[in-house]
Amino acid sequence: MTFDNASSAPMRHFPIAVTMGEPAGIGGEIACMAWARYANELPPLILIDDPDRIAQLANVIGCPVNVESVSNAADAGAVWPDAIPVLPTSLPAPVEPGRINPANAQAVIASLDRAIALATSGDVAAVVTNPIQKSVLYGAGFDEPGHTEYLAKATKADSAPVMMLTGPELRVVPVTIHTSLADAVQALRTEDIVHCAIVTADALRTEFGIARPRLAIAALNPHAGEDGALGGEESSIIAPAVAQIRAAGIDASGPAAADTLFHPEARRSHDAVICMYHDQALIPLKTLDFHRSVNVTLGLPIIRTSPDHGTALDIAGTGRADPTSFVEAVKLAAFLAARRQQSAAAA
Amino acid sequence: MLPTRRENRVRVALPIGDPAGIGPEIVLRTAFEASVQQVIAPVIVGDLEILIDQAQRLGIGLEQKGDTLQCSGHSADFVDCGVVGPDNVTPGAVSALAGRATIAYATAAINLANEGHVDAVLAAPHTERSVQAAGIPFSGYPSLLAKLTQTSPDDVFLMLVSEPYKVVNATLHVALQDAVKLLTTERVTAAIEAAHNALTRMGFDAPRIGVCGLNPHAGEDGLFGQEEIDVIGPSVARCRQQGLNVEGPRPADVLFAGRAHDVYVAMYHDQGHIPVKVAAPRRASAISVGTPILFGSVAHGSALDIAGQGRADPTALQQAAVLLATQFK
Repeated sequence: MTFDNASSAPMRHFPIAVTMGEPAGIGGEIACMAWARYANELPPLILIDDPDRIAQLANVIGCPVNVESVSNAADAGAVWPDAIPVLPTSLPAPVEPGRINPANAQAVIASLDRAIALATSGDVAAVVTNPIQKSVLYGAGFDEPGHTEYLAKATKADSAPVMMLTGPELRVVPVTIHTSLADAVQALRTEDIVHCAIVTADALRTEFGIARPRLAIAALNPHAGEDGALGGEESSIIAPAVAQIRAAGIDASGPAAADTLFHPEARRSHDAVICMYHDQALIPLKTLDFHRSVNVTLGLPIIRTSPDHGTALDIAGTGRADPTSFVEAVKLAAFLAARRQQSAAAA
Repeated sequence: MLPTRRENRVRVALPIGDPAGIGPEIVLRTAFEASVQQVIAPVIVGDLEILIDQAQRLGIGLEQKGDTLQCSGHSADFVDCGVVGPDNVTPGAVSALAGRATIAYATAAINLANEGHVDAVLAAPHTERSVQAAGIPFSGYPSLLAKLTQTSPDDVFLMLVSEPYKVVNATLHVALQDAVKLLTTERVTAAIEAAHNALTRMGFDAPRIGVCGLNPHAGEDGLFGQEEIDVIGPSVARCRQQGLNVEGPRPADVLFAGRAHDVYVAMYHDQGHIPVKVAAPRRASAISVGTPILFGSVAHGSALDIAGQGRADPTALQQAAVLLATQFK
């Protein structure tokens, strides 16, 4: 089984906004590589970045690109695929790959804000966010734990958004994310599992076109707790969540021992796995396909995807970065945007 | 009394595990399998009536002859524990009796190894609930093995062996929140050493050992948890000082995806079992490392839902038998 997110997406003329992300990281160069290798296969992108630094960076990594500065998003379609359209955002300090300069933190946030505004107004169809270095932004007015929460606030989302990671053979949704494992166990709550499952099922149905999504709910403990012998959270927290999810009319099973959910036969039996902690979701996803997994935020008014990796400061500016996850993030954003347009047209 | 060693094949005791599970079936289909018989001399440890009942269910002929069982032209030595039979154990049912029998078989098999009658033990799966129902304190075969071989339970670890991963688990059958608390520098160090010794015994020269972090992103410098800094990091440093070829703690998702190590050390059960079973759900073998005797089992369970139906897949047990006989010196 594979999910080909691009196959049914017609090419559209709307652009997809790409945020700067941490400029000392690999965000700029993976966008350049994506243009150089796949411009003809991808919908128009519009980078919200500094056009001069993009052109210089492309030369440094040996992947020359045509950069064209545009003054509004609507011009991107005319420029792509001959050049990368860039909506200029000025960087106060010069960028040195691999070395973070806090002076540029405001520009990182400004790029994200601009992308959100363009998506909210409908001038871009979706946003692909490049990785950020959170610790730098925390000192510059970015007062949310990560992109997902920041986007939720900025777009006034109705309820907490949900992070789904999707690879060619597996979709996973971690209920707890960036917290220590001990805290994740303590923080696990029935209502959060139910919320994640409902948002996921809703998104799989309306956004991904899966008529009756099947969710597998992972257990927390080994062997799903073996009836309490190896932990009580299955009966006290997760099973009640599964009951509520089913009561909401969703096809859900579990809690199931996590190590039984990810082999080929198991993967055919569900459309997504609701996971209790970060590594439970990420280990199978990355083991199956390290490069092609994508992060998508469910439950936002706008479409947002991102590559499923960090800023990779250690290899920034060397040309060794792999653009695969970024390209998949663009394809998924285009697929979701096309579907939203179709349903809007049908309505 | 068992016949003494009379040939070159490796003598492996096969306790049948939970008599109500798939154990009797997969033991029969392993002990009398031609490819397995080539490398091991099986010694089945179980109950005669249970095995005869199972053979009937499978539609194969099984005959007792002296201290042996004969089937499909092959012979296996047999130790009859005389604990249960089809009258009081039903396939698929959890019961104290089945739990007590499981432990009796494993105990008899381990004692055979302790006394030098067999070279290794390969146990079919148990059912945790049945053993608990019998009131026997037990947290997996490794703990029983430690007790019967007078080894400290802190030195015995489970190693999963599959393609492409070999994984030693620093903690195993405990609730996740307890696993976190059990991690100490001593325990993680012992697990790394056990991984090194097992791989060396398998013929690896300076095996490359990858150690998982506990937390997301291996804690990201303390942002998501301190165990990498306080516990796992110091263990890795200590093992490196001893000259072991060890790296970590690294984010578990990145480490397994990288496939760059000969053996991995996982901090908790699912961290090690998930990657192994993504690739090979029914083919992983489990070897207890850190004990004086060679002891194997399989990574799958007793599969009560299909017990006694002739539908069990014996591949993992067969592969474990061959692995024990051919890869450990």
